[in-house]
Amino acid sequence: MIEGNAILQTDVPNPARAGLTGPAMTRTVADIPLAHRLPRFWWVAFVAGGMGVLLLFVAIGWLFLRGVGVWGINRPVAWGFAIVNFVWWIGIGHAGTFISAILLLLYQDWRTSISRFTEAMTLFAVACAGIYPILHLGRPQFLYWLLPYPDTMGVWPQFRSPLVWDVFAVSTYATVSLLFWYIGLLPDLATMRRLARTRWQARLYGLMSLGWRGDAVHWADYERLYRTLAGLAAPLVVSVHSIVGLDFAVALLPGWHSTIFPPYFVGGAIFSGFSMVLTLVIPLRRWYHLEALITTRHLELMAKVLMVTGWVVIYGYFSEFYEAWRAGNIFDRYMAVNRAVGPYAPWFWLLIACNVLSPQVLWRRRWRCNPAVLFAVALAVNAGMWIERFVIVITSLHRDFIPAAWGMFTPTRWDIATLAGTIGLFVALLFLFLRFVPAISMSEMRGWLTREERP
Amino acid sequence: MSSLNPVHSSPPDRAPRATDEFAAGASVWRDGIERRDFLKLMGASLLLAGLPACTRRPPDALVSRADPPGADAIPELQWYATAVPWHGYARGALVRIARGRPILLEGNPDHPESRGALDAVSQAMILSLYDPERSGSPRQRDAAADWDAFTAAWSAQHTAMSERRGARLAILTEPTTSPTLIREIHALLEEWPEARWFQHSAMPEYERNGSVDVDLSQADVLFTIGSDLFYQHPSAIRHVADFTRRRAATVDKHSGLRMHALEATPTLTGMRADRRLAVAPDRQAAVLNSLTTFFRGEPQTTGLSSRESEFVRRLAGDVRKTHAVAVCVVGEEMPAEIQSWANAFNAQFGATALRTRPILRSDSDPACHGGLAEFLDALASAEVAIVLGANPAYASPRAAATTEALKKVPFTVHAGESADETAGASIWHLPEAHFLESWSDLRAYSGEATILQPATRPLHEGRSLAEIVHFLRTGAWQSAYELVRTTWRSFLGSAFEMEWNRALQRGVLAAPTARPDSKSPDFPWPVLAGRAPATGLVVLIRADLNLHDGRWANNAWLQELPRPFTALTWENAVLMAATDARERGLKSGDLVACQAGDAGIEGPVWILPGQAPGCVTVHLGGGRARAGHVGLARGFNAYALQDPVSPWTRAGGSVRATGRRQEFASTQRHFQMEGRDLVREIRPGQTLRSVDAAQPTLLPAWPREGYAWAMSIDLDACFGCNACIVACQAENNIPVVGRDQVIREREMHWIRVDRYFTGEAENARLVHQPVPCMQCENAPCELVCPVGATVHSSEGLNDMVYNRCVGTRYCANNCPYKVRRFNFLDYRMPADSLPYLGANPVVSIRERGVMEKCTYCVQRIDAGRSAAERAGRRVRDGEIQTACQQACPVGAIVFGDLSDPASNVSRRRRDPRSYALLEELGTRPRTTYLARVNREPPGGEGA
Repeated sequence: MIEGNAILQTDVPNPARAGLTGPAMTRTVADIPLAHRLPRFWWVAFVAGGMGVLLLFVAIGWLFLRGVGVWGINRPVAWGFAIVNFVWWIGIGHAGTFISAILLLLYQDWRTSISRFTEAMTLFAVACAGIYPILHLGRPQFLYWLLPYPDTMGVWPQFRSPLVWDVFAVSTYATVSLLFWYIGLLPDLATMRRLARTRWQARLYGLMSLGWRGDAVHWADYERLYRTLAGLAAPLVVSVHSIVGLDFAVALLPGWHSTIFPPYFVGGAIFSGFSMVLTLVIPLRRWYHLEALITTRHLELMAKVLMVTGWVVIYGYFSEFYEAWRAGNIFDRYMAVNRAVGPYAPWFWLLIACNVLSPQVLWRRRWRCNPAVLFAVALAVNAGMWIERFVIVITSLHRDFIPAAWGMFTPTRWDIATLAGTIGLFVALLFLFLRFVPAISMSEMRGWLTREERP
Repeated sequence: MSSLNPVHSSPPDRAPRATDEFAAGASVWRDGIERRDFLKLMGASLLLAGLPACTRRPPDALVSRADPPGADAIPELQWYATAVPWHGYARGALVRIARGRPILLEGNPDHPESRGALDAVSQAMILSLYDPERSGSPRQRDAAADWDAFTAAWSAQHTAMSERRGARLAILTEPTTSPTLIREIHALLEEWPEARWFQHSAMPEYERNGSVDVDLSQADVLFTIGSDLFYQHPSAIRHVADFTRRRAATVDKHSGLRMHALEATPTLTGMRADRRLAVAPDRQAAVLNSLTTFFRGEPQTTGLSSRESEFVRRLAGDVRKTHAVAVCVVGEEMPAEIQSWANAFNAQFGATALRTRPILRSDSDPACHGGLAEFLDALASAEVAIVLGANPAYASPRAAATTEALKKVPFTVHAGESADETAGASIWHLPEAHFLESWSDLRAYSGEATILQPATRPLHEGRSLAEIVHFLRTGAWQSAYELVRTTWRSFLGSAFEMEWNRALQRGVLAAPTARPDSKSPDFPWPVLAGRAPATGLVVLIRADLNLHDGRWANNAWLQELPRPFTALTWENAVLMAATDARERGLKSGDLVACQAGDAGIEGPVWILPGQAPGCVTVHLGGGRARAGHVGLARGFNAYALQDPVSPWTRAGGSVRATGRRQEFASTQRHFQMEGRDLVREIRPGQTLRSVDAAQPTLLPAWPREGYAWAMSIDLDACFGCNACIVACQAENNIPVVGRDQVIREREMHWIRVDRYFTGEAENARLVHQPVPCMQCENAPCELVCPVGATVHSSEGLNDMVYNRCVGTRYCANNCPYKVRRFNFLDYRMPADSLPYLGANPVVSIRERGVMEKCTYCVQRIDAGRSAAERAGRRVRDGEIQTACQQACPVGAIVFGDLSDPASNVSRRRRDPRSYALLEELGTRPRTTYLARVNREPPGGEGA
């Protein structure tokens, strides 16, 4: 049993107790970009990501040349992979801000070890997500019509549409996340400048650190700004995916039109975000020997978050079926039955296996603390969350009200290329980040370590 | 600037065009003008600005018609009365001409076989006019040639021919009613008595029943045997209109016109029946013989299944009840003995509903020497063979023999609208003018004549068949205009010019008095020889519902028009009953080898509810070997299965799986209603809840001030003929997307006809539901558009602003009726293509990435409202007609103003049968439906 208060007082051992000192920690973290350890591993991963980026460019080029008809979308399934991928990436982009902002405000020290990394992950995921709404448009050249700019004809966006809310929600979230990440990075960039081994490194980090000198005034301003941004970012975590959920809930389609969507989507977003953090942290921690900083206890805590949000998601599934049965609406009922036994049933059951069954493994502490098991579960949840969005988007659309207008959706190679391309983009950005930016916040880490030394 | 076609260009009696300065089609506007050219043209345009138009104005001698409904509303439009040839018969039509170009074919309200409506196929003929692959100039041995070359080649033949009085000359035509063409052929045969004239048509024999015609407005019971009287018949529009009018008068009663249908393969006609019995052809004799026993007063149903005897009992009951007038119509594809049974039936029960019509098509012309078989015999010794209009090298069971025989003749000429298979087997190919670019004349099935006037100057160098026949005889060209006038001078008498002008204006000339057939008035009940149960399957071969005998294969509208029973486009299939398929382990989409005798084809199976077990149906028109890229090799060629002796039915067939599968380009994939209340059916006199009854909503009611446009669709009238789809396509410039895009479910039709099978699989009934935009007052699409590209007009229309659309497709998702269509790719026709000339100039052509949908023909509403405003009055009810409404042969669609309580649409909304589709969603649609009426007396289900 977890006591009510205990959730705020996790017993993550301060690494200082294990004899880790500030300078040693700094060296470990700063050496990853400065010394460029493991060049071969880095190049392989980066080139793999880079190939994905090239694929993405080809896919986008063909798309702009021919039109969205190169995808498998049709009538009735007018939304396909673009929306599925958008929601998936945006969901992944939730963990970072959740960890940095909400846990920061809750004084969860253990977040220090992973906050920088997950924030970066958030940014890259949002960048990947942000591509899709543009590609999705039939006439992407008129994207700016969704913005409330002073048009000479006095034409405004149509503010009742959730897509307009999306524009605001996602762009605000991206901006605040970027600012939050960069502000948090400033003291570390100054440290990097100090530790730089070559002239260009010193120049680059000096420029990036915006003249940070470690002045007491700097620190005071920094703390104030950082906490303020955290306060701003925290509600955004909830708002972004609520609004993405409203894209569906506002529509009247069976399977979309449901009040459960905003909380269900937020839960799902954090679920998928944490699973992505685990997917990335577990191998990197091992390759770069960061076990002292990102301990097994960290993994266990993240596994618990995964379980909690997993149950939010399960409740969402349950409520969809319960509502369909309880409301007695013929269309909703058909939708529920069609999900479970219709032509896309294999996807639905795969989703259940990934998102409902696989996290239950984590009830056992031994498995929860086993990185290999945790990694497998995290991968399954990543896939499961993508399939969830696929099931929500496709099965609701392909058989709605009028049977004569029912259809099927089959992705084309360009659908798959675009998805693979953004995964490549994500990987490439992530390794650029590892190459140039300290992946763990050294300044915060120092503060944490010294808190242990002080008493 | 002769290429600009100034107004006073050549009159209809066109000068030989060989001296034209430009090639055919060169005067069609091309894209991509240079700046200098542009300035030159601008200068020229200014000079010519005083002239009315610089487009393809039709020749001066035409007489336009000013009185179709709403004609005065739109001064820039003109209408000309003409007729669409329907296998030699006239189907009256008006050509709508906008800015000098024919853009639409509409029904001629004065024509008895049109009554203001026009079927899908006839309407699509406007696209054939602009078909870039239509034959444009003569060809010699498949190489480009010109008329001069042919004229020279023929004059050599001509002399010899005159000397031997036409010996060894064989001419093959299709049967026609054209007085001018018949006169020319007779003249030729008179001058060259040794010449031989043959006729061939791959369509069923519509003249088989002689001068007997039915008048459904007088009948109380209609019994059809394998007949598609309402769809595939020269008088289809008249019959279905009569039928529907009789039915509409009695929607609230069990009495009125009742209908029974006995058929093996479903037809649109059979599906209208109150009771329909699907039995294989070998069972039909037994059913009819049993009926005979009922009519003779000694009822026997031995040997019949319970379903069959129930059908027989009910039909006999209806026929004998209260001395009803009952008529029996037999499909032209049925054996002759069944026709004689029907004659006995009609003689006994239906005399008052029978009419005599003059036999005017040339089928039984005494001057004719036979059909295709005799033609082929004649070819063996012929020196000159001339095929006019027909395409026997494809459209006949003797296609291969025809090709071979033609190739052995020293001098062969083919004239036709396209360089088809027969053209490929002939030395000379001559382009036949499209009926909209030449003078001609035709008669309707009921006998009324129409003088076909051209609607445009010829786009190519085609000439009419009458011109060609005249030239063959005389060696000199005379214009079709003069030829037609010569014919009618003798018919119209003294006040010729006045009568001629009136005929052109109205488009109808009275029929000659009919003389009944000289058959014996005595029709005994024949005892039909019950055929032994066939071993294997019976293969039924039928003309395609869209492409007929395959001649319209290059018409993209017809290729992409969903076939009524399968929603198949771009291909045909082997239609099969579910039980037969199950026995053979076949699923829809399995490619099978279908064999009959030594002939066989390979095609995909389509499991069709309503098909009788024991027979499969294949449709003609596929597998063209020589056609344009639209029609080439679509589907399989079912002529291969035809037996020359009995072309429509072939026993002893077999179907064998090949192990391969084929994906169907079908626009509908699910034909079950899934227990949803979509097509409502009520009993006569039953009432539905009113559509205007208040539904619980938090939204304010939509104000109904000014005009409030609305539409009502009568599902009891609709019989699923697709005329509305083609009308909409022509009016609204709806693109054709091609087979691949249909497979990807991206067809663009703004109005679709949803079909659902109800009842048991074998005797399934098909119900139709045309679904245009519902123009919801609380439109779900408007709410979710992020840029406000779809908004509500003050008159209640759900407007789509193409220019503003960014293409999120959210509106399409949120439309519960799924009526929104998206330009996934660039579906526009190129601006320099010929079909572009036929586009409706007042409707924008939508670019890639924008949404589109039914607008209630907003351009017609605007024009009508402007005209009314100019006249200082409100729009009158019925003054504005949507394209779908105008085309509908049964008046199922009514459009009008809801704020006028006396309007037709307001009255329909108050009808007890009125309901809104998915009204529980609270969208408050402006398009509503009238429920179907199930007239079958209670207790008849499941018999």
